[in-house]
Amino acid sequence: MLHKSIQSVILTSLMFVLVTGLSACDSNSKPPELMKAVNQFKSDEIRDRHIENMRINHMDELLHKRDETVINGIRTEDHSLKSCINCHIPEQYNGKVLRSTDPEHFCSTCHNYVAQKIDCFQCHVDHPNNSKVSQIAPNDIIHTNAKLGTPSKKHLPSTVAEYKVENLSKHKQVIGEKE
Amino acid sequence: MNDINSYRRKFLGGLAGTAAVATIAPGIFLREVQAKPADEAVSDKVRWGMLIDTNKLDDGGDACIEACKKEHGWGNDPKSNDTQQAQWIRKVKVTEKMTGHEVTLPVMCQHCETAPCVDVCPTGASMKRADGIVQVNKHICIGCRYCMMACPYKARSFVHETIVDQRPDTPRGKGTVESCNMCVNRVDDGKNPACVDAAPQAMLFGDLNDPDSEISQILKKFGGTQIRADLGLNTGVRYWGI
Repeated sequence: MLHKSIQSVILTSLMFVLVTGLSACDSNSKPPELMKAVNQFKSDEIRDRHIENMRINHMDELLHKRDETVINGIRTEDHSLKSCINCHIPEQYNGKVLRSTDPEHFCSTCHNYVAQKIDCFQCHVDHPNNSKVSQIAPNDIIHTNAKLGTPSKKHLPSTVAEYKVENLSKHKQVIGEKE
Repeated sequence: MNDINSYRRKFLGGLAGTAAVATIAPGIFLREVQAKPADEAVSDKVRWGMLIDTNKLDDGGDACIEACKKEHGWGNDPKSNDTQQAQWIRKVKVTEKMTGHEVTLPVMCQHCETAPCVDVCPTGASMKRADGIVQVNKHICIGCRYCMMACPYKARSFVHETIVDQRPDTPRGKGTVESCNMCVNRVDDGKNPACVDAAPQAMLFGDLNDPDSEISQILKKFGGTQIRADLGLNTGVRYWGI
């Protein structure tokens, strides 16, 4: 009888520790608040499916897609890291560029929480960088050649260059034949 | 027609004109670069190649280099010194001793058919795509730099420092090797490589496997020089005037 009561005391105390422990854990283990995406889905149903899938599978989707893209040149928007970034990271946050080292960064919020190092941004840009490459025109280009140390050469006026070059170029013969 | 277009027309005029007469109709130019559907894998039916007329590059390729820097975001790594800076494409000056004749040519990855860099890579990161473009799969590059040693054109660079604010289509990161990738992102999108767009009077991009393409027609008629042809690498980049 005594033996049984000791057992029950131990059991109840264990239960107590477990329950209090769990409840304490519960209060701390709320997943961190995530930043709202820039673009929203048309319906909540699609959004919920996206969230459910991505919570579990985003790493596999990205791993699969990266090989498809680099090796096979498949560049669809689905599961492309660029699309993820463009939608989940705002271009500016509190007046500055949001980087993966900031705790507010969509990816970093969770990754910091679970202490999971993220490697993507060692190479990939971590925020939308859509600044268009300005018009590539030969005339307004600054000519420098750091490695050779050659003096920068001004772009020759097209007419002069054309004249000189055409005299030498093999292509002159081509055009000459035609004319 | 703007200046660039008129240069291009002149550059292509002679041969493309005759080819078009022979095959289709005068004045009809076949579009060189055709965009594949985004969800379709690249195939070995095409082999991308490039022809560079150094005589028409009046700036020796400066415009190409600047365009490449803008497109891929290299060349301005703050902590690297001049010898460490990445160089996807560089200017090489060759002087003939006897006559003193100088030729300046842009040299980048030559996209060899049998690429030494692909042979030596221990992880398979240095790879040739089915369409002939040689590039580094940085996901599996360990930065050993064997490919840099193997490349006879000195086309590859190593990234020495942490990089931020990369171009979205050109990831670059510390500890990986990189080189000209013929602007895969642009080619997959149906565009010309950035350097070709920057010097359209002197450069031509197209499919070497298609006998009817402008580049194949021109190469068939006039040939094109490979740098170090003696190595038998069958490069995808050919030159005139060297």
